[in-house]
Amino acid sequence: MTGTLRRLPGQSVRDERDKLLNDRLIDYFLVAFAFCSLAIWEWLRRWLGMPFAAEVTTIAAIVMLAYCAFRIFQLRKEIRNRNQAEKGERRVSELLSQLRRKRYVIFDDLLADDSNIDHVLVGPGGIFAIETKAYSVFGNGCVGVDTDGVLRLSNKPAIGDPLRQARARQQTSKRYCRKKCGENLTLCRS
Amino acid sequence: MRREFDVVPVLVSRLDVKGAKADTGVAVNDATITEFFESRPSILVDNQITEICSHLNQAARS
Repeated sequence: MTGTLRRLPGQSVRDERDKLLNDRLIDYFLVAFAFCSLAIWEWLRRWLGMPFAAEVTTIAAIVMLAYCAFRIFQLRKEIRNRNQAEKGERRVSELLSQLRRKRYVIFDDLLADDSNIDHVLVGPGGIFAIETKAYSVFGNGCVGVDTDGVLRLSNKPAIGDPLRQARARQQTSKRYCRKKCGENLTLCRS
Repeated sequence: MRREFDVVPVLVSRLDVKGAKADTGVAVNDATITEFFESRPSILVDNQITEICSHLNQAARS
């Protein structure tokens, strides 16, 4: 049971989220825990009759706690966004898998040229590079594309310009297909 | 087997996107995604699909 496994929908997003959890979240918890331990230790010293400036370490712990709580709150938001992105990719993969009966083949989370393409669909209709966005829109809920080709959510430009991302994935897919398929496949310019 | 065809960028969102054009990336609401692909005219034949997929299959594994 060795060898590489087929990548799953949203695998890159899941890897990023796990990295956030493993590398950063744990650090903040450890720092917070260390300072709380220090404060408890200083209070114990006082109760044991060894006078020391417990207030100083307590204030330091409170400051660090506030900082870590703020950073954890921010991380929670990032993790929530990645969870939403992963769910979106899985949902789209599920929908695209219905196209198998129409001779379409779906590749999830394709790694090409140091970037990942959410889905590549190959079938009778051609080759499609698919970028998935699972947005929640606040405000007036209006989603549209302006005259410059920029996606706008509630009249504000969407973060990261998803349409530009979709076009970038298209170029990555083209380069990859050209490289892999060579002269047998000629991709026309868009 | 030299054929001219393009890779089409597609943005999929849960929400309806107004004003999307082909040159800015095609946006499809996830409720209509299968119809979008099913309605595309056929430009690839089976052996071309198989060949392209055999190459992409390497990148789809890690």
